Amino acid sequence: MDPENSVLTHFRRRRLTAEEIRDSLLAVSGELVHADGGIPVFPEMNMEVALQPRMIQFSLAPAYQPSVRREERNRRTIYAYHCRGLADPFLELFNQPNPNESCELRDDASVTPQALTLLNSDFMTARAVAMSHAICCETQNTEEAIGSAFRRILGREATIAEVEQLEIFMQDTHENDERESKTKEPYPIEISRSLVEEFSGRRFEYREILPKFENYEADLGMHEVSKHCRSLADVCLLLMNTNEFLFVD
Amino acid sequence: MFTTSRRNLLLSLGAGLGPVALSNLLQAEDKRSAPLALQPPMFAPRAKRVIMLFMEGGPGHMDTFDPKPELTRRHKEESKLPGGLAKGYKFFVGSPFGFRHAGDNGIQMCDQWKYLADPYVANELCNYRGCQAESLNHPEALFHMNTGSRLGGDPAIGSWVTYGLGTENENLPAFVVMTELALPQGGSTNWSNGFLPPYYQGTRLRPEGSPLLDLKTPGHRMPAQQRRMIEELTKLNQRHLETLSAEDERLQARIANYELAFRMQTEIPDVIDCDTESEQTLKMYGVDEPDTDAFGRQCLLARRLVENGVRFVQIFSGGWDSHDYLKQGHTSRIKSVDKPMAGLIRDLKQRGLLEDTLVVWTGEFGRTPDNNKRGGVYSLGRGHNNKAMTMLLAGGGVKPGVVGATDDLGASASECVHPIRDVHVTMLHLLGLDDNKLTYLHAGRHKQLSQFGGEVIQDVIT
Repeated sequence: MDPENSVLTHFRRRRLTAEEIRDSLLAVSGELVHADGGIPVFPEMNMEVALQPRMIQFSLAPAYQPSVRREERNRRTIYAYHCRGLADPFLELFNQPNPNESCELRDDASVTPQALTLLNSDFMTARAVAMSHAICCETQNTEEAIGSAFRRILGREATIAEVEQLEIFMQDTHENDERESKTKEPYPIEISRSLVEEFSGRRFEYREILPKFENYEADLGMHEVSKHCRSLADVCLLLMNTNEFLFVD
Repeated sequence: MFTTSRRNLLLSLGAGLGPVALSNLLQAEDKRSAPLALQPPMFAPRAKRVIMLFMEGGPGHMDTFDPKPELTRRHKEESKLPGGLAKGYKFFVGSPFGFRHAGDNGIQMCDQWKYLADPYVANELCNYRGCQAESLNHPEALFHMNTGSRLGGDPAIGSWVTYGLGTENENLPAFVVMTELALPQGGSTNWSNGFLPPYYQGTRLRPEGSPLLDLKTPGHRMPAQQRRMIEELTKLNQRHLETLSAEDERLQARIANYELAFRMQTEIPDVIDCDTESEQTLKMYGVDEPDTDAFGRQCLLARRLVENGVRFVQIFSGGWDSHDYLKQGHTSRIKSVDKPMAGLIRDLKQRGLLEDTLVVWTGEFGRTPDNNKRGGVYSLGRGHNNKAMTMLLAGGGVKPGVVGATDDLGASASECVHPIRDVHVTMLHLLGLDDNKLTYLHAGRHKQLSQFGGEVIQDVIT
């Protein structure tokens, strides 16, 4: 009946929106903080973008600094401070509209940089580690852990084939894991800026302090968890990258 | 009953054919998953690709390529000219530079241009002096020159071009932008896809750190593990596809995206790595010399990118806004771009790329012949001028020589006068695209780069 869905007999599959993706990732990793209202919060943003020099008339805008405490920055995206001149590249990539334009319909294009960000970004690593850590605390073995990841991320039980596939993957990952020594870059508490002076064309430099990073509550890093937990984090990251997670049926 | 769609069959074969073949099949078959697929131009093109060098701030036309001896004679005399930003007492400012002819086509250059003046390079150039901007402010004028609209938010010219022609290399972004550390005024709106789908937005190669965000596999993951993860993910996604009753192109496109992502991770660093260039080439662009290194590397990279199939490359170079200290400001700016620009033209010419590569050098507007006193002192600089400016065009179908003119003082364009939209229409025309047909339905109207149509500037075309 209605194979083309021309009379809308069933729900049309759609990709999650940018905000839904971020919120869902925080929700499945157990990090999402539910709270209503309040002043805008500053989620973590790709650090290269957050700290990049941003020209405003005659000068540079201050760097973007995320909220110091996890319970502030891990709130739903709707409570995030939205700066017109500095879009969050993660949200922008998943088609959050340009804040300078009205938008009658969001695009839901699949572009390759989305794959790069979902696999490689600090944001995704942090979610995968947080989730893996939580699962490791409440499960006894690999099979249970994989099952838990499926229930959290995809809302269903894993099939036997899936458990088998990912058990082998985890085992191989565990054996080849040489990640002990890799530590995350520390957050900078000061950066240097340079700018060309408007009238003279002369270049000058100055330091900008980033006080929020002095007492920053960082997310759990890949290097801070056990080997088992790291290989499970890779499983979590895989599931977070699936079509099944990113689309609603 | 056993049923399988052609697509499912292809997908099931995909694992055997190898992931590259899978994504190729999908992309060739499906415009939606390949919006950047190569498309034929509307008529025979003169150029296939564009390199646009944007001098942010507004270079003074009378201090670069458009000498004004009359202005020099009136140096520091009172000016009663209208226009510009300045109010109150104004005085004329003669150019601090001398001029001479370069090459055989009547091009004139101030004496600061040392490498560009070489006849081998200068003979390729068209100096167009007739363009008029509209806005007197930087961001609006930048938006106008880059997107056809002063308001900002419309698609950039590079977006329109990639929308019209697609890309010749799907492993690289089709429209690449390079800037200094600080973005130009108006930021990424200058290379935004606007209302066009997001595939067409300019991709900024970041001058420091990762050239594309998240391009690098994180430090804690070995490349072999990255490859493995993409394979495992493809398995999971394929299994999911098999459970669905109807095929869905979007899901298949996402599977292909991961393969392409992996290829981009290797191809982009290879293209960006200029170390494989000969010492002679590096020298030609001024790489490793303090004044020219930054712009030189970007120009060299522009050549490497177009050579590898990138459609539109844009480089922003700031600091041309000489309200004061004109001599110092323009001397240092010209020095930073002269050798790299000359190197680029020479290199493109030597490789046979110049004949179908359109090179455009422009600012967002020109500068005024006069300035006002600052604190009672004659400040030797210039204001913003939306009535006159100067551009260089080269390559792909461009006729070398001088086209158009400004008046004796350089206050306003006086011959072959055209608005910015005509320059845009001309650029599209050289690429084999008709601005009136290159449209996109948005907000109830078929929109186009020129907003409401324009004229091809025939005088700049061979």
